[in-house]
Amino acid sequence: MQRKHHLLLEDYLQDPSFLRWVREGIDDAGWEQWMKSDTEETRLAREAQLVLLAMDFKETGVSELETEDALQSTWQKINNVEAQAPVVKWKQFARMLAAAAVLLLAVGLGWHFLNQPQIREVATEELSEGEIAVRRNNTKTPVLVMLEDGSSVILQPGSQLDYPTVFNETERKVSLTGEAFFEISKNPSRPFFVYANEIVTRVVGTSFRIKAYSNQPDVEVIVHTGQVKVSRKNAVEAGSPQEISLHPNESIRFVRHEAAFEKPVIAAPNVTVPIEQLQFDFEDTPISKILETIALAYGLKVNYPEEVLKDCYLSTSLSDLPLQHKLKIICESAGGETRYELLGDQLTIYSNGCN
Amino acid sequence: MPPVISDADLWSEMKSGSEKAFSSLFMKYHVSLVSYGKSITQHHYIVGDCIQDVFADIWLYRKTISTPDSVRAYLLSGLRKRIARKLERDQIFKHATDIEHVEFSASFTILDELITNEEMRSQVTYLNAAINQLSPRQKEALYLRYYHQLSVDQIAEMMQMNTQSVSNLLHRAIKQLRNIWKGEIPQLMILLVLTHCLSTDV
Repeated sequence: MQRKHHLLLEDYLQDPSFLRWVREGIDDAGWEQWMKSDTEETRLAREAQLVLLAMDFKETGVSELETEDALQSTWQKINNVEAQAPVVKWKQFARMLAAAAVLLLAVGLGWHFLNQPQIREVATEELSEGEIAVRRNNTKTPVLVMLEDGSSVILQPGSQLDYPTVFNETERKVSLTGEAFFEISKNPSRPFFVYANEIVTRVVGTSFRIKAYSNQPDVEVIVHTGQVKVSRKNAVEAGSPQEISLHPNESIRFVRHEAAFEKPVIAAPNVTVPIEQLQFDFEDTPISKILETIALAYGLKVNYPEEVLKDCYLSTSLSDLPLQHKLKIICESAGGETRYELLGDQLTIYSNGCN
Repeated sequence: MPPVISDADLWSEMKSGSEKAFSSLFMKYHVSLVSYGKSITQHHYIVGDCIQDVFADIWLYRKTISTPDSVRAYLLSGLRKRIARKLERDQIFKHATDIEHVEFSASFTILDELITNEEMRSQVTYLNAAINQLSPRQKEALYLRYYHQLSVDQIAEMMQMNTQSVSNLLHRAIKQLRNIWKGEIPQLMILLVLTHCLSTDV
């Protein structure tokens, strides 16, 4: 390589060949030899060398794992924005949106709803302070929403979920317009409430579906596993919720113009939402099969090392658990170095075999 | 070793929707960005979040953003803006009384492994102390110019100064160092040599 001579110290500080020699000890242009002579030029180069040695910078120690975590959080962030309305950061703004939603509702449903005094208190009013995420599914396929507590929600097209980015310590509250399937992470000391139109559904840890489109006459709650309690919203607000208990495979309908619940009935099997038809009780099932089931249920694309996992079988029941719990159990049961990564709708399993 | 793909190629792949190219860029620059972020604010906890925001925006607006001359400059600049905005916003919402600015507060270190003899070591040590006493703006300009090899134009854009001012800032910094070198180092050397002789005599 040709050695360049410079008239300015600054020029040496940005000469790639010179930098390589000073900083990395790679001498590809005979610098070492040349610097032995004492001329105006070498004196300048020597000054530059000292400046460079005195002006190093130690980058912060960040492990590869930390970088990978940060990348994953970035994808999560992107996910929160993509495919639906932008994340609304401040409660004030969320209120304005709620007010706008009320207006639409009022126009759509006629005068008798206008006469309801409680009608202004829809949606985000009930949520706790802090950052409120507004997640609207404008796509044609269901979208998976992961909540901070590990619960997962499958949000149907045209539906919206408002939720705090961090729940408060005593309770978890979200607000739904439209239809969603919930799998709630178990935590008896932090009950989970779903506000949907005129009704409130309270759960501890279970899975269920709510249908609460603002332009339909009924609100419907369908329990999949566990137990939930439903009540009218204004009864909850008055402090005397008359709760109706629902058990697995039961559903209840709230007739909006009568402002009353019908009697619970046995739910008709759902044919539109795959997760409710799939079985999550596995007995001696290949991990690959379990992963395919999960991919189908949550609308994910799954990548896993087929060869490595081909002899891995699991017996486990995952029915009642949110997605992240399911994945955690699968990875832990497989053992070894098995772990998962969820980026958007891409689920990747890393493993070097099972125990 | 896998073949090295240039930033420009990664960027254009990213623009056409390659998540892999996006992830590669993230993995490549994350450490540098964390270091730079922590150098310009005392509030280290906001740095990680700001970096994620910078990258999230790149992905979300990938179809419309242009291809920068230097991806490194683009990212450093994006992070600086993001941190400045966040500090400003926090100040508004928390009514903080102490003014929170972006200010370069990191210290330069000595590249010890490549120092061949004791004379050189004492000169470098002295010079290093002098560099670390330069103003935060001078230090930041030096860091961007000679550690990250950004152009003067790129630094001017980042630090919201005009190009000539950045040139002057850098030039004055180097001149200050050279004065030290010319004026004080010989004296210092005499002192060091003397102490060395005295200590070996005893």
